[in-house]
Amino acid sequence: MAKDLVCNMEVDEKTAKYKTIYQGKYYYFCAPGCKKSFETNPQKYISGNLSSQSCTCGHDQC
Amino acid sequence: MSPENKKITLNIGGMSCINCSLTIEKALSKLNGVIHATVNFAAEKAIIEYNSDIVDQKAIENTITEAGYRVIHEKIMLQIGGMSCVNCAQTIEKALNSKEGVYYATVNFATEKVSVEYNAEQVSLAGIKKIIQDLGYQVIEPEKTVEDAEGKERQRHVQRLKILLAASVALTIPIILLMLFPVLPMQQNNILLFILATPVQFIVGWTFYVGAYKGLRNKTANMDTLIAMGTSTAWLYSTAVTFAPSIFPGADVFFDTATMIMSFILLGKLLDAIAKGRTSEAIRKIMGLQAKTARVIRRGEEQEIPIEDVLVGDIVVVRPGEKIPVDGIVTEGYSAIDEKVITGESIPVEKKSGDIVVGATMNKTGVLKFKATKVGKDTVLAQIISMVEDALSSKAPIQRLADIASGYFVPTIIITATLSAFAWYFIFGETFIFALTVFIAVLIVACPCALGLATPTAIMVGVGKGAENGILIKNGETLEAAYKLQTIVFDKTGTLTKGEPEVTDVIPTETFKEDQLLLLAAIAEKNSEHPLGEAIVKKAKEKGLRNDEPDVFNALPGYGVEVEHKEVRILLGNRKLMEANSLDIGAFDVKMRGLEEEGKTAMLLAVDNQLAGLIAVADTLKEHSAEAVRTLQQMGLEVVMITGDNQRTANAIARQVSVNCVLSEVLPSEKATEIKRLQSEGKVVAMVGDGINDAPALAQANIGIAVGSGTDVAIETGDIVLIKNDLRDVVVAIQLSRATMKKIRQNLFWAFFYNIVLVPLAAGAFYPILHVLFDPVYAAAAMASSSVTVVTNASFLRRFKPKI
Repeated sequence: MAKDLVCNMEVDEKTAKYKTIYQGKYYYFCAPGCKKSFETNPQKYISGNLSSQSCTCGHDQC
Repeated sequence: MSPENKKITLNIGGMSCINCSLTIEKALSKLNGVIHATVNFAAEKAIIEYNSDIVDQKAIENTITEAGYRVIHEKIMLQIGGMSCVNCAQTIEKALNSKEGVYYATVNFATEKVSVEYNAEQVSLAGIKKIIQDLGYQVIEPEKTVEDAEGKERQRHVQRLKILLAASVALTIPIILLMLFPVLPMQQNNILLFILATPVQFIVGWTFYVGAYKGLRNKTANMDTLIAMGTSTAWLYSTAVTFAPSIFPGADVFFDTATMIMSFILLGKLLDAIAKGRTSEAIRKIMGLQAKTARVIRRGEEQEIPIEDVLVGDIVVVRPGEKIPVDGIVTEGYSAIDEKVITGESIPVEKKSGDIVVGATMNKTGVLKFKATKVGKDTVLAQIISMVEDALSSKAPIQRLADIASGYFVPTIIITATLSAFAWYFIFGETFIFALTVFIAVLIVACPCALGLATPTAIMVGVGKGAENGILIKNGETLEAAYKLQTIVFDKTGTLTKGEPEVTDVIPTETFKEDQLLLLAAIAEKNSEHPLGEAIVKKAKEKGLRNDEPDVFNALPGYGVEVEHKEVRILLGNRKLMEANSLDIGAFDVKMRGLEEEGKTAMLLAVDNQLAGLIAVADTLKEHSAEAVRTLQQMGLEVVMITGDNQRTANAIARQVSVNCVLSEVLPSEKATEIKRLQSEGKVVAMVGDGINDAPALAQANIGIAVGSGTDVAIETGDIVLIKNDLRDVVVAIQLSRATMKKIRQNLFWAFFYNIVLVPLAAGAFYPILHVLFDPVYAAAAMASSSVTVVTNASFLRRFKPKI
């Protein structure tokens, strides 16, 4: 299981619908909003600057 | 709330979900000095409470923009009446800029317009108007449509000046004759002169008194003050001599001086006004492009109505040979439209149901019915006009120096005049008349107006000339930046190239067939907005392949795309994408390199982790790209190409356009950063791209040049907007900007020169050598000619011819 670095949700890589690559590595997300946030500022999420709020992306998979 | 605490409300743009508002709140809360920040996503507003001792509004707004959102500023332009000189303009500017909530206010004395950028939450339009009106000026209501209100006002002004001048001259001539050939004995002659001169002084000269009074009310002195003081002194002295001859026995009267001064100054103002009218012609030409009436279908009937009455949603009918009145979408009909006005293309474009039409373009062959989507101020034409108008009312930074100088100028002159007069009378022992002459001459010869007119006149001609040729320059800062320009960065796709790539090679591996490979790629790129993807979809369509939409689609910026379709995973992208999936491409690496060296972009396709083949796409260069680049290099500029393409392809294309410096494999989000990096090397950088995709980079550059459209997005983002798709216009734009800047410098030189030479002359500094005093009448002539020189010099800019 992988972790959505934007909202901290657990995401299954095999079935994840939203993903991107950064610096050669795959990252997985639970919703388009999280993917977009990550792509806009990848370093922010990789360096461990995790948001403490729950996922408010408005989808039904969490 | 303690006194240093402030609370402001800002309108925020760019938020797409609740997350965004929370992001902004967090960023603001972290800012030192912010006590409390609340962002309302639904209302798109932010309310911030902060300690104004620690942080200011600018820092707060910067925090929001750095987080990736926009603070929405309102912008408005108003026409102002009652300004008599440059100092009035400055007074209004100062008052507006000191109002909280106003970011930026510029008054252009030449066009009589003020441009204000403000926060609608802190100050209202009514509040701004009140500030202007409280100072004693009028706000002329902006016209509903792009009608030529300005032209009419200007004509009225010219008429008024002509009448005043005629009256002044009509009385001045007899005065001169009487002074030269007195028909009566001196005393009576003087009285006759008094009768002729007084109306000139007070009726014709009333405008100067009014102007001086207004200045006094706002605690500034202006040119009218000088003229009023100078002519009044002459008149008072002459009146005293006439009616109390015992005080000044045998003295001459100065009645001719006062009236001649007035006449000359009026002549100068008249020539000014006429010249200004001519330079606005560029705008008038563009405005004339708009249709005056439109044919709409209402309640089932066709009626012809004035264009201002067209509403959004109206069905408009246009016959062959008629102008499209407003922007809209075609509902019925089929025709070809000449869009030269907006695109510069002389080949008519075919329009059918569902296509967009733009107001001011010409319908050629068929009848069209369309639904109006944008009318009045929202049409593309109106936005172009608005942009040109804004440019005309902007200031080059160098002008601010002149503004500061002219603020001190008039008081200095008054002091100089007084001191000189005193010196000659008390120290050098000259006669009272001598001292008086010096006093009047200095007051009259000084011309702060030329200083104030130097920049606006040149900008008007330069920007106007640009607009006539499809080059829209946004503001004065751009002109100065063009002068100092060192580096110019071109985006590749869509700017240097046509942006219409085509598939050139489809090379499958042994286990796949050509059409199979192409179809897989087309499915992957079915909804792609990328030109490369579109090329693939187009090719598949040409071959009649059935292109489905993928079940799952993921764009991987900088790598390619990954899609899932019918349980199959398709990867389409560059080498890095294959690497990230641990795929070895083997012999295809060599094949790729070969194609890339031809300037093509090669994409690899893999199906369920098996390499399927490669597809090459090529985009042709625009016709004049190479020529434009070479000319820019000859002008001494460093030309750089920036692209997301891989290095090999990028270098191959660069070679074709003679570009030496290439920034390749740059992600779209990194383009602005690259510009910043160049700027950090101390360079002044221009960026050339299309207004939509390159917006952040265009904004970061010192000069952002948006090419190839008169669309509202381009107008929003570019400092210079090129309507035609021809890169030679980039060269012309830079040459024109530089020529305009040179003109501004010339004008400022003349304005300063006149004053620096003539004021000492009038003060009698050369008297010991020349033994002749500077007659105040000559002073008036010289002063009028200084502003005429500046305006005329500016109009020479109309002769500008591009060198390409």
